[in-house]
This record gives sequence, structure tokens and C-alpha cells, in this order.
Amino acid sequence: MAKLNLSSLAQASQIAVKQDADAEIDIDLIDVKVQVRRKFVGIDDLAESIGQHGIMYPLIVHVQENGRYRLICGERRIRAARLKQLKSVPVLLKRGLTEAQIRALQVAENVDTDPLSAFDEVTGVAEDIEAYGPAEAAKIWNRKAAWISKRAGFKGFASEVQELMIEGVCQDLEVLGSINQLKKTPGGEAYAKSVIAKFKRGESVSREGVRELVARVKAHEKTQKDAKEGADLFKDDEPTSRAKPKSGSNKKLHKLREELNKTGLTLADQFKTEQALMTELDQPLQEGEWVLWSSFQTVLLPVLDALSKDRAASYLRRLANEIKTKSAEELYVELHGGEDIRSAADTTPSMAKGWEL
Amino acid sequence: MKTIAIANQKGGVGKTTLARNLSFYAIEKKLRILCLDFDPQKNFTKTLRNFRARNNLSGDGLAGVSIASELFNEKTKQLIPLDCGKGASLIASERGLVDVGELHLDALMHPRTALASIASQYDVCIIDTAPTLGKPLYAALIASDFVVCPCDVDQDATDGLTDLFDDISRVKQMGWNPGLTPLGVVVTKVNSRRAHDMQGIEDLREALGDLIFKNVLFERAATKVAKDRAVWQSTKGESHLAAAREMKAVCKEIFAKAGV
Repeated sequence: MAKLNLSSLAQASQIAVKQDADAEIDIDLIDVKVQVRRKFVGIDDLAESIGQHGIMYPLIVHVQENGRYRLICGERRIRAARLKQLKSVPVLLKRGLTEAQIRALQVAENVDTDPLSAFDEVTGVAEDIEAYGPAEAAKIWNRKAAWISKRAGFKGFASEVQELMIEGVCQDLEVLGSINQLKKTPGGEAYAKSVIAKFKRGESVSREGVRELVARVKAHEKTQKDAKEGADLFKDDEPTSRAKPKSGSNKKLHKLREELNKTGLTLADQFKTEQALMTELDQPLQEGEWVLWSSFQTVLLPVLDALSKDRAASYLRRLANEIKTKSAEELYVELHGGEDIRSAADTTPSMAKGWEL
Repeated sequence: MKTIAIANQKGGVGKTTLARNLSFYAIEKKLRILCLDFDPQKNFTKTLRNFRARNNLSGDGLAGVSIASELFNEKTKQLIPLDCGKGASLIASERGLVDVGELHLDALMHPRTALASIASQYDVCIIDTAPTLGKPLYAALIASDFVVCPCDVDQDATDGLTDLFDDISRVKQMGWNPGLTPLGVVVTKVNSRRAHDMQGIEDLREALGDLIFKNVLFERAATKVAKDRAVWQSTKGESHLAAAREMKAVCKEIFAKAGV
């Protein structure tokens, strides 16, 4: 008797079990449970956008026992869809969830897919602070004072920064706060602009990234201030010596960079020699590793110490990232030109236009 | 109410047998069960009617109750299933089901809506379907949460299954019932002495993985003969006992997977 031919059955079954996220269901089958304190601003605009591009992100619904669907996330989208009189909407199906699990999903998703809930929250808090004061507001929202004050600040943010939240581009108050700080700090405006541009390009912006920028700008501000104060202190003593250091300093910097280049190569040789010596001495594996590792730290830690703490972390992080996909030699050649580590074309490369860490 | 359709486009694979035993299993578990017969052959209906008679319920149970074809009629205001006793109710199959084929496609959605109106009264609904691709089968797929597919180790049966899975996919992708979940395939009528059958089970497991239920139904006289009662009722003899064990195991597995 012939063996069963099951290949098309296997295929057909694979497709049948898929929980298809692109499923569209009749909009009238979706029940929306009324939510507390909801202000829906901008539904008309969202409806316009849906009219043009359709709904880009599926709504999340829960399959109910009665065969209908209960909306978990996407109230703005469904309102806009109803405004546009759409017959069906794309959904992601969930089933068998408890009330608590549904709520957890709503809380988790709200910030990501329903931008104005963050805005609602922030304006709601601001209103409550105005009406009742921060202490009462904390009670109303059942939150600690820090949570309230974080949101209180939003109203004072630059309009560009507020816009980021209103358009649903960024709902992270920490990031928005940092960007606002950059705008306020001298020298930070350019950084603020570049971060905002990243958002507009849909690129990700991390909290730490912006925080580092703030730290850097503030550190820079401080050193400038200190330098100025220092210079001011000696202003009356050596008026002419202020003009000279400018050109002299440039030469010094250039010379220093060249020296550092040589130092780097020297260090490379020294590490190579160290490895050769370990082999000669036939040290056990861990011993050899230890010697290399401790030498590595001996050389690098003083350098990291000389840089600020935030710099140390971000430099190492960036290097760690780059070394994942490119070899040290490749990175070096990118930086200095030439063919390999020994033959740098330019020992003091200039900053490329628009470069940022 | 969790709705489970029993389906396979090939006849004689054991759909009604499974529907019957699942219903008895539910009754014994004291669940409120709605039996829906979408097969014009009316075998499922007969079993439930006889059950009703044994429960000494009055009347012939034909007047004033809803029948299967009414589910397709949007004018049907209220659904009144036939009470068969011990928590079981029936919406019987009758000739009208044949005419359902003439109805407009829209009618296919009505059974789902109609069942929704009484969903709160039951824990589980079992739909026995006809071995033909037709409007009642589609309507059953649209109305159900789950589909269980009995299938014997036979090329025609597995080919029929392929078509059924295609239909399930269509029902989902067209948005008629995107939540429809194939619960799995119950291998039936297995002859343990035939190498072909035993190999077939292995091949099915390999092809469908988790979609094949762990428990299979072997070909046994007891399974075939028990039309009006559960296979496990009044067992006589070893083969009967085995049949009883197997059927109970399958029912348990189905309900467990469906979360009933």
C-alpha cells in the first residue's frame, strides 16, 4: 500500500493555523469599553491621514465569548475610522485574556500606539496642578511628587519639543526634558536641533544618548566658564599673552596629536611583545590572559580617567559597537587613511562635516 | 460559550461519532451544551432526540423550537433550542438545510450572530457538519471558535483535509472569522494490525506536528455501534473497554485544548 502523500496537507495546515495580524474585520463587530478621562484631540486629522494611507498599525482586539470583539488598543484609530465611515479595520487578535491582562496590555501599548494619551496625561496633570496645587494633584493621580513635577514641566517646554509629543513622535518625558535642557543651555541649540532631526527621520533616540549630550554641553559650559574666569583673573596681569597662545596652542595641539599617534603604534608593539613573551614563558592560559588584561587596563584606565566619566562610557560604548562589525585595522584606516595601521596617511585627521559622537 | 465545529470534507471519517461522544462527555461533566446539527443526514439530531426521550421530557419536541435552517434567516428574532435534559440542548437538522445552498452569501454570517445571542446560556457548542463543501459548512466555520478534524489514515481523507484547511484559511483571511483556530486532527478508525495505518499515524505526526492529537481512535466495534450513548457507557469486554478509554482520552484532550 502506498505511503500517504502529505506535503500539501502540511502546507495547507501551516497557513490555516497562522494568527494573521493582517486580518480585517467588520468595524461594527468591535465593542469599545468607555475609558475614564479621555480627551480625543486631533481625530479629524487622524481621519484625514487614514483616508489617505489607511490604518498603518492593526488595532488590538480581544475575541469575546459572544463572538464579537472587544477593543484593547486603538481607540483613536477606531474613532477616526468611524469618522471616515470605513467598513473594516485591520486587527491583531487576542483570546483567553483576563481583565487584568487586558488592562496590562492597554497600559503597555498606550504610550506606543496612542500618542495623545501621554499628552492627555500631561495636560491633565498641568490643569490639576493649576486648579488644586501639586500636592492635591499627586493625590488625584495617585502618584509621587516626582512623577507630578516631571509632568508639570512640560507646559514650559519649547514649542518644538511639545510638538514632538503632540504628533506622537516621542512620548518619553525624560527625553523631551533633556532636549529642552539642550535648547536652554548655551552651545546646546545645535545638539537639540540634531536630535529633533533624528526623530523626524524616524531614527531611534535613547535616553542615555540625550543625557550624555546634556552632560557634555554642561561640562563644556563649565570649562568655558572656568577658563573665562581664570583668564579674567589674569586679565590685568598679562594682557598681551592672551593673543599669542592662540596660534601657539594650535601648533602644540598638532604636535601632541602626532605624538599620540606614535604612542599608539608604540603601545601596539609593546602588546605584541608581551604576547610573544607569554608564549616563550609557556604560561598557563589564565596567567597569560591576566597579564594581557591587566596591561590593557594599565594603559587605558589613565586615559579614561583623563576624559570625563560620561565620555569614558560613551567612547567605550561607541568603540564596542563599531568593533562588532569592523576590525580595528579597518577602523584605523577609516580614521587615518593609508593602507594599514603602520602607514597612516593623515596622523591628525580633521572633523568631517556634521560629525557627532 | 466555546464553539467547536467537527469537520472533514470526506464522509465516514467519524465526525458524528466524535460529535456525539463529545456531547455526552460534556453532559457528564455537567457543562451546559448546545448541539447544533448542520448535517442533513440528521444522525446527530437523532442521538440527541433519543437522549431526550430517555430523560422523559414531554412532547415530540418539534413545535416552537428553532431548527438549523432558521439560523440562516436574519428575520429569526429569537433562538429557542430544544431542551434535551441534563444541560443539553439541540438545534436540529432538517430538510430546510438543503435549501440553504440557494441563499445569498451574506446569510453565511447569520448563524454566528444568532448563536451569539444565546452564547451566555451555554458553556460549549458542538457543531456537526456535513461531508460536503457547502454553505452550512462555511457558516459553521464562520460561527466557530475551534475546528476539530477527524480523519482516517486514507489518502482521500487527508486530501479532503487539505481542502478543509484551505477553507479555514479563506474564512480567516477574508475577515469572516479571523479568530478561527484549528484545534487539530483526530486520527480515527486505525487498524493497529495494519502497518500502513500505524505508519500513516507517524507520517501524519511528522507532517502536522502539534496539530495531530496525541490520542487516536482505533477501529473498534464498540465505537461503531454506540450511536445513542457514549462509547464508555456499559462497557462489555476488553475491546469495548479499550474503545471507551480511547474515546474518553480524545474528548478530554479536545476540551483541554479548547480551554473548556
